Order: sequence, then structure tokens, then C-alpha cells
Amino acid sequence: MSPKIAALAGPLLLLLLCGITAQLVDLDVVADVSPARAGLGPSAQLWLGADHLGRSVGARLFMATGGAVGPGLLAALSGLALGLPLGAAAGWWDGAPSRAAGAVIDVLGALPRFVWVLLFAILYGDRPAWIGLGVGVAGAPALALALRARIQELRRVSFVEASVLHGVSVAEVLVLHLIGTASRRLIARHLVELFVASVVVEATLGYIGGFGVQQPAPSWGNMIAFSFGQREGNALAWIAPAVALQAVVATGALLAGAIAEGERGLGGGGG
Amino acid sequence: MAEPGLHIDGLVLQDGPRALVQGLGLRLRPGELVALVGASGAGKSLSARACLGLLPPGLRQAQGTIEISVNDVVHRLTGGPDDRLALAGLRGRALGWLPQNSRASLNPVWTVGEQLRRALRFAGRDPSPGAVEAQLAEAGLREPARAAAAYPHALSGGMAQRVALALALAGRPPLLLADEPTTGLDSTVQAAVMASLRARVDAGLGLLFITHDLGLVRAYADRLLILDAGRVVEQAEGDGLDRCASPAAQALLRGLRALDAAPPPTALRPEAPLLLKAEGLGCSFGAGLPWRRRVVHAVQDVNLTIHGGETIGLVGESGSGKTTLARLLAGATRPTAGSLRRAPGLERATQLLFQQPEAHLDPDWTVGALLRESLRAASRRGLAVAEPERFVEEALQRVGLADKAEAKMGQLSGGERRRVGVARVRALRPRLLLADEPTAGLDAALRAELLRLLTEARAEAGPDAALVLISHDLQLVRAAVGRVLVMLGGRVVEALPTDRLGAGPHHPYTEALLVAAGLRPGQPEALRPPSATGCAHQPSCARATSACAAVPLLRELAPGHRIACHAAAPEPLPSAAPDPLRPQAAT
Repeated sequence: MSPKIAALAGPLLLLLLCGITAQLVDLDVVADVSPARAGLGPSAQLWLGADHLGRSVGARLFMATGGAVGPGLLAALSGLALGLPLGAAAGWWDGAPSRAAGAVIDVLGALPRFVWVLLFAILYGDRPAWIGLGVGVAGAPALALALRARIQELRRVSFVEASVLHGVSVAEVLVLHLIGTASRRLIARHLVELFVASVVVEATLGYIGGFGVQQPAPSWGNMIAFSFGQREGNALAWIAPAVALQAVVATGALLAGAIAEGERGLGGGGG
Repeated sequence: MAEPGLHIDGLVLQDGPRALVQGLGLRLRPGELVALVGASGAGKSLSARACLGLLPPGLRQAQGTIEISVNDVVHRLTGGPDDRLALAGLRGRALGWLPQNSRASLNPVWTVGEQLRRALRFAGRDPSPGAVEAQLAEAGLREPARAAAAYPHALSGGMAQRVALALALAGRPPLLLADEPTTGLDSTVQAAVMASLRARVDAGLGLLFITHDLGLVRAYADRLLILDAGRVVEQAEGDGLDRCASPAAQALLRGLRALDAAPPPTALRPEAPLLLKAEGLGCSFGAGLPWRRRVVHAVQDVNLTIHGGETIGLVGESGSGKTTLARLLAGATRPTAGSLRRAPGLERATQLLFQQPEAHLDPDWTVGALLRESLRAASRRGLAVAEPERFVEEALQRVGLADKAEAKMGQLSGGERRRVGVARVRALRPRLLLADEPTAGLDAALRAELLRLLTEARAEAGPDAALVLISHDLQLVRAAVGRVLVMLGGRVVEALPTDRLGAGPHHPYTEALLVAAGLRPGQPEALRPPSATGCAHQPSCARATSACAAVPLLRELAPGHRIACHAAAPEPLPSAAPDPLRPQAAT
């Protein structure tokens, strides 16, 4: 792993850790209204101050990572579960299996990401998990198409034929060489992109309201919507989640870019 | 006034703190051919690249000077920022560069003519189509107009090398640096390219010829420098190679002699089982645009038997059908004509060692992982190994790569990759091992080492294991196999026991190969493309007659020695002969 990737993956892993830990925090701690602290600025007790209802901005920001990370992980996993087999099948085989996998990819890719998310929310309710699942399903075609192209490109490369002639099973060549080695960066890049996309969608829906995490539970989106424009109060109450969101998007984009830099060309070295 | 030529003094090239070239001194004058000889990694190419400011990123000229004195102008490179100015007037005009992989150095989306036109214009010379064709003809291309209109992918290896030579000489530089310019070329083409370069030297060109081919050094060099671990360890006149006493020179010469000293191939046992029998084997495929489709016969009417314990050499120039035949025998390509019968289980016990290990082994996998994969494949074939890790360790020790288990394929040298290929194949103990140009591009010592490893691999697989060695290196084949098949235009044109190679009459094509390999006296010549009809050799054959319009049948010249030539042998074999290439069993 290159130092650049390690440096960029570090903050995202920290975010994941925060997200998981945040699930353990009692909601009452961050939901309690305290007029006495309304609009207080940063202090030793309240590092980021309090919003106009007197709730700790820092605590709410921390807890909101749970709402961002959970759907993000679900988006990455569902995108992987769907995109990987579809892309592999469409890329490795010719004829009917490839056409069938291609048709599924086309159907999934026909609807925009937000439509998928809203569809899941309407059908199954507005829990954050469905947001992640919707983003994952909507993002799977992009992963599948990229993987299909990669495998189609590589299956003609000499080492694939040589491995099969050597006695290596087709499944081993596909899973270990073409997916596990040659496409691992491509897959990792798509997973990062799906994760970040899900965080953004969740925050957007939280901002709009009506879907995703609902008040008084915090999400970065509803924190911005709730505090932005309050005449009296602590500006950090909306700046902090906005910065957190921007930081995740920027880190994710840079990480995806760094991973893409190492993707090798046809039959070339690298990695 | 400075003496014209290239003068390198105390050159030190460093990669970080590590010195790759240490105090190199060299002088090249116009009209002489100086060979820079050394094993792989000795620093030959780096030294030449430093003269053109073409060092790879991270490397720097830490000490020493490089002076190129041409037309009373001295260009001095010291490794400093001022070198850029000196290089601008130097490249192409005072100092030409002929790279090792000429095809890769050509722009794939421009025709040869367009590239040469630009080079001529850059050099301030006439860029007209006539001048372009004259430049190509001067570089030895027979049909310059056709070559000018072609894109690089359509050129053969020899043509691409000559196009690169034409480009390198477009600015009429008085000095030329040629980095392994004949590596990978057929022996006849190699000889023609060298003859073309020698003629330029005789006309006044100063040529620094980087090579590990000691045969070429003996034949063409005026002087030679032996480089070892970045130092010049010995200098000699061109004919003094065999008198060189430095350990590096001795190591190179030992490698050369090792082929001659290789143990003779084991004689075929009378009770040896039949492994494979091909009758009328052919492989054709369509080529060209859909509306100009033509059929290419890669292999035609090959009759062949392989018995257990045999070693067979397949020789011929590029495009003669050797690799396709090997693929047919390995089951990697389906025949379109004839029949191929194998002994039971042989298909799974056949291994093909590919020509380019860098393309045929996953570059992102470590050597250890690749060997473990081979063990899994072996296990599926009932050849399970009790202690895989120990086996991997021992296998790497046997091929001299004990410390490379964690190295990725992309980090290994060409010779090391080939040894990994052999180690993988050995794990499966194949009954039929087909090695396609296993030593192409390797120096003499590595060639001998590879040959030893292949012989060991065959011996390990048992007394009934056979080896088919595909090569255009007749010296290698002569040292390694018991029977030779010479291929041309997809057909076997001569089959003979190895001990008859170079003795007695041969097919004219075999004669040409022998001359090019230095095994017969004579002036080597590049051969014309084979004819698609009749005898394939007729365009290049001095003995061609009207009878050559018909495909010649194999005729028996002596026991086990058969030739397909209208002029060379008395009577054709009886048409009913079921097995015309049946080897002669040792008694």
C-alpha cells in the first residue's frame, strides 16, 4: 500500500470507528434540550459549543457519524455483492451468461441513484439502512461495468491462457488473478466511491427532511438544516457538520484517485 | 582541437547512494565498432543512455564527464543543469540511438514514412518521399516504398530494426549507440542487420555496440570492453575475446562454451513408448479485413511422432510455424486439418513453457505464490506434495532464486522470470515439455543455465518424459536435442538427427540458417518472405527451378535424415509411408 493511500485511508477508518462507537451512545445525551446552554460558543466542557436548543454540537456531530457510516458501509457491501458477480459473469463468459448479466446491469443502471433510494424508502420505510441499500443497488452497475471491461481486457492476456494451460482452474484464474489481483484496486475505488456517495445522499435527505435520520436524532444533514440561518446561536452548529461532510467527500475523492493511480494497464506491471 | 568521437571519463552513475556504474572510461572514434560486453545488469545500457541524457528517473550522473566531439564542436555532459543545452545539439545530430526494442520506439499511429519525414526535417534534410525511401533503402530495406507506407505493427522484427536504424541515422550522426540491436531477431536477419551496421562503420560511422552475444562480438567488433558490476574490467581487440583473462570475461566465455560442453542428449530407447502422433497436422486461420479475407496456413501437413525420452528441436525463422505447432501439440490451439493422437493422460501431462515469461506469469504475483499455485494444479493431477512450503523453498533453490520467494514477477529480470517458469513447470513433472524460445534474449551463461534446468526438469519427470525445444538458435538446439525438425512456411522441410547438423548436404534453407549461426562458412543473408505456393524457400533459393512451383515431398537422404527439396534428395518417400518422421531408435 502506498503512503498516500495509507494517509488518506486513515481518516476514513477513524470515521468508521467513530461511527461504530457512536451506536453505543445513548440518544438522550444528545437530544436533551437545555435552554441555559443555548447558543454557547466553544468551551472546555463543550468543545464545539451548543446549538440554539442548548444541545452539545460536538456530541451530536459524533453521534451523527453513526448515521453516515452505517448506510455507507451497507452501500459498499451491497454494491460489491451485486456488482462483483454481475461484472465477473458478464466479463468472463460469452453468449447467454454474459447477455443475461448485461441485461441485469442495464436494468439496475436505468434508474438514477436518488430514484432507487426513494423507491426503497417508499417501499420499506425511511430507515437509514435503506438509503445505503438504495445507493448500493444504484452504484452496482458502475462497478459491474468497470469490472466487466477489466476482465474482458485481461482474459485475452497471455498469462490467463498460460495459467489455464498450466492446470490452474478457471475459477482460480478468475477469482485470484483477474478479480483478486488485477481488479482489486478497481473494486476498492468503487467501494470508496459508493461509501462517499451514500454519506452524501444520507446528508442530503437529512437536510431535505422526511427521509433518513429524523430529529431529535442527529445527522450531518439535519444538523445543517436545523441550525443554518438561526439568528442567535453558535455558527459551529451548522459549520461543523458541513466541514465534516466536505472532509469525507474530499478524502474519499482523493483516496479513490490515489487508488486509481495504481491501477495497471493491459498486461502491464504495477500494483 | 579535440579528437573526434565519444570520450567517457570516470563516469559514475548512481541510484540514490548505490553506484550502478563506477568510473567508466571509454573512447569511440568514427570508423570503429566498439563492443560493450557484459552480463545482464552490468551497466551497459545505462552507460549508453547517460551519453544521451536518457537515464531513468532517480538515476544521476554523479561524477565524470562525457564528451562528444563532432565537427570541431565539443559537447560536454557533466550531469549538471547545463547538460540540457548540450543535449539539444547532440541527440540525433552528433549521436544516434538505436534502441533494443525498436518496434516499441516507433510511434504506432504514424506510418514509417511520416516518422522518417519528420526526423529528416528535424535534421534539416530533404523530407521528400524520395528522400524518405532513399533513407530506408540505405538502411537495408528491400521495398522502401512499401515500408514507408506501413505502420509499425505491420513490420517484421528485422524490418522494424532497420526502420529504427534509418531513423537513428536520419540526422547523419557520425556516432551511433546501438543497444542490443539484434536481440530477438532470427539469425539470418540478425546477420543482415549486423552486416548493414558493419558497412556503415566501414563508411566512417563510429558504433558503440552493446551486446551480450559473444559470437557477434567475435565476428564484427574492432575493439571490445568488458563491463562487470559497472566497471570496465578488460579491454581487447575484436579478435582477442578468447584471450581475455578477467573473471567476468571468463564467466561469459564459460557460458558460451557451456553449450558446447553440454552433455549429449540421451539416445532414444527402443522400448520408448509413443507419446504423440500427428498425421497431416495443419492449422489455418483467416486474416485481413472482412472484404479482403485471406487464409493463413500457419502449419501445414506436419507428420510427427514423439516418443518417451526424446529431445526434439524445432528450428526456423519467425513465422515459420514453430510456435503454432507447439501450441497444437500442447492442446492450446485446435488443428484445422489432420489428426493428433496422444498417449492416455498426456494432454494433462503436457506443459508449454511460453516464450515471454513476463507476459505469461501474473506480474503482480510473488514468485512463491506462483509456485504454490502450481502445486495446487499438481495436486489436482494427483501429484500432491506433502510439504508445500518446503517444496517451494527447494524449487527456488534449484533454480537459483532462493531469495526471491517474496519478489513480484514484475521485479525480476528476464532470466529470473524464465527460471520461475521452469520451476513452475517442474512442479507438475510433465511427460511432454514444450519450451518455446526459452533462451531468447539471454546471454550465453544464462542460456547454458536455462538449458541445464530444462534438462533437469525432463529428467525429474522420468525416463519417458520428452522435451521439445523451439528455437531459432541452432547452436542451442545442437547442444540440447537428439533430433531436429527445420520448419519453413508452416511445413517441416528437413528432419535429421542432430549429429548430422552441419555435416553433409542440407535443405538450402537449413544451409542459410547454418551460415547465419556461424556453423557453416559463408556470407549470411536476410531471406525473402517464404512463398505461399510451391516450395516456400524458392524466393531466396539459388537452386530454385521450375519444379519448385510444386510443394516438395520429404525424401530420405540418409537414415533418419529427410529433406523436402526438389534439388537436394534423390527420391521422394513412398506416399504410403505412415510415419515419415519416425525417429531412428538407438541400438
